[in-house]
Amino acid sequence: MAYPYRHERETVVMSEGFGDPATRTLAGWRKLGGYKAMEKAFGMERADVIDVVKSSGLRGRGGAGFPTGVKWSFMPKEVNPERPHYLLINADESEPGAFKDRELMRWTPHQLIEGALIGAYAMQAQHVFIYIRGEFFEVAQILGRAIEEAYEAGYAGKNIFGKGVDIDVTLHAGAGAYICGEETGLMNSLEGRRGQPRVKPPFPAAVGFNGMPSTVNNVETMCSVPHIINNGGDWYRQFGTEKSPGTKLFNVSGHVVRRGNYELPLGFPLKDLIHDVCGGIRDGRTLKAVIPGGSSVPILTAEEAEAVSMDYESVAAAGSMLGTASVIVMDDTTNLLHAVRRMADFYAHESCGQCTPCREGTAWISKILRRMEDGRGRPEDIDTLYDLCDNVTGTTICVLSDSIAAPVRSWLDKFPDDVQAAIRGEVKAVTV
Amino acid sequence: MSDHTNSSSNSSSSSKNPGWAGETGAFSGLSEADVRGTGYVGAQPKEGWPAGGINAYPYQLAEKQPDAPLFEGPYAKRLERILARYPTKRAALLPVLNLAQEIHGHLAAEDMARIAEVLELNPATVRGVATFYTMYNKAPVGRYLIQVCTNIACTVCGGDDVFNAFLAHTGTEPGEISDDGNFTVVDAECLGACGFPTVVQINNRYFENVNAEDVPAILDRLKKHGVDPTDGKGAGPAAKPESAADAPPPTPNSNPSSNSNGEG
Repeated sequence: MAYPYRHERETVVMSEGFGDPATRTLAGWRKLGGYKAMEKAFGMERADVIDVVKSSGLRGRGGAGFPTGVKWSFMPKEVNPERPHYLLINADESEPGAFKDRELMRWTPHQLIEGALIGAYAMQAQHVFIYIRGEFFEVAQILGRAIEEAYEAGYAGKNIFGKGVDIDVTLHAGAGAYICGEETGLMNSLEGRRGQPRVKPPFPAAVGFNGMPSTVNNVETMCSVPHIINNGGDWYRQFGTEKSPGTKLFNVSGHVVRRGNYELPLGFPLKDLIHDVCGGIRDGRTLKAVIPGGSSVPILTAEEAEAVSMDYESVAAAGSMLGTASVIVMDDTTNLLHAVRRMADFYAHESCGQCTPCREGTAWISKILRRMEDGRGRPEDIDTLYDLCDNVTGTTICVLSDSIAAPVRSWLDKFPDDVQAAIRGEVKAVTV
Repeated sequence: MSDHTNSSSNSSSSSKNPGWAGETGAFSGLSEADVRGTGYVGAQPKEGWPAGGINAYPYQLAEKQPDAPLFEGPYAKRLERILARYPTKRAALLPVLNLAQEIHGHLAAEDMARIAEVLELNPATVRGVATFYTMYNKAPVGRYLIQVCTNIACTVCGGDDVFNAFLAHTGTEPGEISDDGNFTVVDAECLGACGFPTVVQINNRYFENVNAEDVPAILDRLKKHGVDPTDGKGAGPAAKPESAADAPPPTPNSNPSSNSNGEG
């Protein structure tokens, strides 16, 4: 039952407590069976906990979709006392279009804490840092209160369940930088540095936060974990597709009748998500374009969107990416030039500046699009934009600049009438 | 929701939370406090939470104390609690910058020097970090820092109209302080609440599903009750620090041009 609307086609696993203020509290979370999975996990061998997560096929929900259990198994099996392990929870949710982790944290903070403690146990991390974006003050207050409750109840802190396991949980606020959602940028930021991504290898499991073995997991990933521990990997695999198992929060924004988060099995048809679950396009208008996975992914035309299923493989086959399943729906009134230009401004603003192609390229893309919007487009702009997109893709430490190339290139490829109108200066400078 | 006729109209008033805590849709019985969780959180102790709860936040209080000493009284305890959570002093840099901004409202060069001293870092290192992050105010801002999302999910639903309405009704240009010292308006990158456009962050609080026509009422509410989610009725934990509506406004219009917060 997602928030703020529900739909009968939802499969409710993580979102059961959404919209119910009682679920925030420790008592409310326990009423839903909370902390049973943690107790069960702490009674298992660490390797067995990782195996259950592996067998579920759970894939990281932060965008990349890497198998979570496999990621956990990269951590050293033995702890060198001088090299403590860290679990870092990525709660930076800053991808334009994404608003799923916020709902998970503000309605079910204990769900995240329980999942994180299970992960910390499995990977022998003695300290969990939850890196939450600085703007989420209200959410952080809720999550912070829940952490205090978890300490008071003995789920966090020293000698948990009397098993000699110590795990600290610390909530840490970012300060407004998109790039801190990239895992190595997050680690640099947590160390008190500028959030500039690091070259990999070495990978975080070998050299991570403070130089120690570390794993970074997304909020939604960790919220799935207690349910998998409780019910088993096979149970989880009954939802979704063979390669993309489980349920996922689909966060839908833009021009639909009922925006919001909906929990659905992976592989759910995007057409049904938009036209049935979300009540269709507002005001009886028609669909023009969809960004299926947050602003970093290629734009789909209406025809492409209405044919695709929302799992990692199907969206990739349609030429885009599932990403965070943050679906931005745009109707026929949308000025795509303005939309793409606004996204380009974002990436230019958020470029950390350490790689030249990104620092320069994102700014140039933004300036050319802005010039078009001002009615001063030139025919050669199309080739220049393609050239820039090529030069910022795969040439930098992280994928921030790839992430603006994707929507720009897809706009140039798939919306030729829009692009030609933009070149001729026939697109209104104002928004829809 | 299906009855609106233009793009800047975001939602029907029946499902919209009266305190701008966002559309409650099928959960129409929820109060603003229910959505914001203020009752659960309660009042944060001035000296901070004892365990892992958050003890420093890059936020603005309406009442700033630009001349107050940093890290004294309850803030000394909070500094101590922050330092205890991190393996190195440097790792505590962001939380300590947060704490300084909470007290002073912005980070001046002297603040960065003082923080460098406390954390045994080079002042240039501190400055290099502080200037990297958007939420650190490098210049003073009004009592209410109004950050309007104009990124993709909000702009397609009228975010630019909301931004322009805030500028028009406060009589300011982006980043400057209004003549009465109350408001600074900037446009913000995505605030992560895309299902509730247009999203506006005012000091520490989100105002959601904001339309251009809501802007005068929001400004009026801020003048009367601050960002207090109880509208001055008292029960809210944030009531005390945020609702000093009768207090004289601080130094007006001190730096109109150089604030870079939130703009790209």
